[in-house]
Formats: sequence, C-alpha cells, structure tokens
Amino acid sequence: MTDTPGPASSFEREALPHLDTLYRVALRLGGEESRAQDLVQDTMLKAFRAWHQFRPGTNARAWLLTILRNTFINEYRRQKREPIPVDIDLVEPYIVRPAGPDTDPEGAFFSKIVDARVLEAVRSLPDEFRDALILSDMEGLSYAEVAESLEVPIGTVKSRLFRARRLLQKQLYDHAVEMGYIQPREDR
Amino acid sequence: MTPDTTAASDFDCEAALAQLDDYLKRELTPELADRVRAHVEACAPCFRQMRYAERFLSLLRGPGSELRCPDPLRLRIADALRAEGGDH
Repeated sequence: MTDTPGPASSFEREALPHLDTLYRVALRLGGEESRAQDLVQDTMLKAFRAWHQFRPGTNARAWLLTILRNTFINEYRRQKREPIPVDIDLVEPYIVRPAGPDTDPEGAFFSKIVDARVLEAVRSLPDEFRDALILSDMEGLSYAEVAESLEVPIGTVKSRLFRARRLLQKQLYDHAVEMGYIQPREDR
Repeated sequence: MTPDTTAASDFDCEAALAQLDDYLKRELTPELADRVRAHVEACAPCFRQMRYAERFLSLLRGPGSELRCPDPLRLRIADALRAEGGDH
C-alpha cells in the first residue's frame, strides 16, 4: 500500500505504523473527516521536525499521540477563542452511579445506542476527560500509555477515567430514557 | 446500600465496585483481580453492576474501531515528509 521510494528512515519505521491509531483518535476528537486528516498530517510533520527529541526505545505511539493532542487543543483554542479551562483534576469528584438499574440493571440498553450518539456524548465531555476516555476505552491503550500520552501521572488518568465514565453513563442513560429504550426510574 | 452476601471474599461491595472498571480493563494485579472476581461471582448486585460496566465498555470500543488511515492520506503524508527533506 505505502510503496514509498527511498530508504526507510528511522522516523518512517517508528512513526508510520501508528498512522491508523492517530487517524482514529483524530476522528474521534474532531469528527470532521477533512479536519482529522489535516490533524494527522500536521502531527506527522511536527513529529518529523522534532524527531531528534524522541528517545529511541521509548514509546513512539504515546509520543505521537501527545503531539496530536496538543495540536488539536491548540487549534481548537485558536478557533474558538476560548479561555484555558480550569484544572479539571481539582474539581470535586462527583460520583454518579447512574443506575439504569431498576428497569435495566445490566445495561442492556447500551446495545441500542448508535455510534454517532456515543461519539457526540464523548465529545461533549470536558477535554481532559474526553482525551483519557478516547485513548483508554475507545482506542484500547493501557493506563500507563495514556498517562504517557497525556503527560500526567497514572493516578490522574484513573481519576479522570472514573469521572469520565460516570458522566458518560449518565448521559447515555438519559438518552436511552429519552429514546424510550428504557423506562425512567420512579423516584417517588 | 447493596448487602455484602459473600463469605468467599474479604472484599465488600464498595471495594469491589471501586475496582470494577479497572478489573474489566485488566489493569489490576492478579491478586487484586482475584479478590474482585471472588466477590462479584458471589454477589448478585455487584455481578449486575459488572455486566452494566461490561456493556458500557464494549459500547465504547465500537465507534470507529474498524477505521484505517486512508491510502490517499498516507501518500499525502509521505509526500509532505519527502518535501520536508532531511534524513532521519
């Protein structure tokens, strides 16, 4: 497929195998196909220019994902002119155990929710939650690799994931009620 | 809250539920995973919670998982890298 001429450089050997991951993560982050493609290309070019900073033997995928994420955030900020968000890890954790429970304790309703709705809900999460969730639960990276990609301690990854999942479960539960996939709980 | 009905595990419901996602993500040490499993298998409410968490996590693995970087994009990137020059 990629029959590029010339000798395989170390960059090509290390970075190109991760294009699928970068592309999937870019799409989940941004949604729009053309924008996701631009993001992947920008990421690869930046990585190429910064290749001397990469330490051989360390995790190239995590390194590339760091660049992709930082690029995405910077673009997003520039376009939206939004203020830099507060440190989400200092926000009080809110434990919601949205219990689909009474009428659907095992969450059968999840299987009725379409992909587009899942993505919409994921993108509505605060950035820090969204990023951890995409890398861990959608792309399947280990917590350690997510921590490396997001440049935060593993404990931070865990707490972000915990809260991201609870928020998302609540949203999807509410959506399922709205769509009539399950009956709402009677809280009386 | 949910009663802890198990004698087989020293884990109570709260402890087991707190580890559930990590257990399903295979992020626990084997020892901890064994304790979570022992509790969940013997506790109906926690078992249901585990099914709930399992279905949720499997829903998240769905969207886009089959996607691959399109060939035209690969070519564009290869061209851009060549134009960039350098020999890494």
